[in-house]
Amino acid sequence: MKTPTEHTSDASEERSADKADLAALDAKIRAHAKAHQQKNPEPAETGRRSTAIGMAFRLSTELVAGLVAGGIIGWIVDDQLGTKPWGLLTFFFLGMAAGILNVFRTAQKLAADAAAQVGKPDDPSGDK
Amino acid sequence: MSAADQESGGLGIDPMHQFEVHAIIPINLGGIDASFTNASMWMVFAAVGIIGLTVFAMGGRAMVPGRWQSIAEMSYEFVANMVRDNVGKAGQSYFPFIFTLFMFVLFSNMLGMLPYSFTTTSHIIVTFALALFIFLGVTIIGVVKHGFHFLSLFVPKGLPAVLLPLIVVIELISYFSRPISLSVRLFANMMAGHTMLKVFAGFVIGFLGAGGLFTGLAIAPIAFMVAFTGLEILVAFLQAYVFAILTCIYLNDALHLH
Repeated sequence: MKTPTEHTSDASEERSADKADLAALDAKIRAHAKAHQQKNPEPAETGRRSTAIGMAFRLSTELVAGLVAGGIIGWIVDDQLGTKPWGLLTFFFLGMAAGILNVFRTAQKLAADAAAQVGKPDDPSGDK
Repeated sequence: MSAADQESGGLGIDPMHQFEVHAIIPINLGGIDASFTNASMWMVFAAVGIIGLTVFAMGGRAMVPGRWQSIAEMSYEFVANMVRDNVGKAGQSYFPFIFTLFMFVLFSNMLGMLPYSFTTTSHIIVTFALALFIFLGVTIIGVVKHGFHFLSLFVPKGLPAVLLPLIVVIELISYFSRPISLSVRLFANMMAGHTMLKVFAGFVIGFLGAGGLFTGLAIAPIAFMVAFTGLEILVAFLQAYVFAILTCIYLNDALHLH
């Protein structure tokens, strides 16, 4: 019969062996996945194309949201200060500028993301 | 199709009917209508679905996960990676919120794809409430973390003093437009897709009702609907993803300024 200390050391040895096995399996799976992706790169390609519609929608809502926010602020300013058309007019155009700024920033971010994706196709341990 | 419908030129189907909210259990709290509606019911379904997936599917805690456990683990890892990539280490403490948000929007969108269901996210008030909560939460986090310095978010670096008042106002409007763009994007996507499906379903009924040569033509809108349903499922996922990732980006702005 084993003493308790022997038993625990045995178990931990077994566990570390399991861990090594798993790590080896993980490396194997990753190598296969990489080989598979190099052979048929279509899935990634379709994935990128399908997000184009999402991108387009994202940009257009950014533009409209700027306008709407500007319009609402202008309306509130007019309502509170009694400067009837001027608040809405001013903030409508400022809202336009804000919308364009939004679109510009979003497009910059999307471009940066796309460049980062091309740089490293898939890195499962993507620590930053 | 009734004769009255044909006379009025309608196709016997109202594409907006699916968005109607009606009370299931009427509740009146001191003059405020707080009824349990079909919208509330489908939100409860979404919550129950998420709890089912995350609690019961993970119940086995198997080393080699089964199908359901895989789904739960994949969603967890997906959101965890999203938070790590977009917010960094500081974002880890906000992971539960973003995970809940992503799963709720995803489940609401996906449940909306079931026939006879109700899409809660196709109502602007639902998405706007979510977006406003995020907007206020992120702003409060920013103010608590940085105090007065948080206002530097509205002042780009290297700005000439002459342009300062103009640019700060534009930046402020841009900041206030965030909850609007966030909510409108999700709501418009869901509503437009579902309306489109119903309109094309109306075409099918119209063709079949016309009879004769037109009956065969009904195959065209049916084929379109099959393809479009696939796209709608993609949109349902994509919009949940976009909603969550934008929350991450806003959170990142508030935590790290720029």
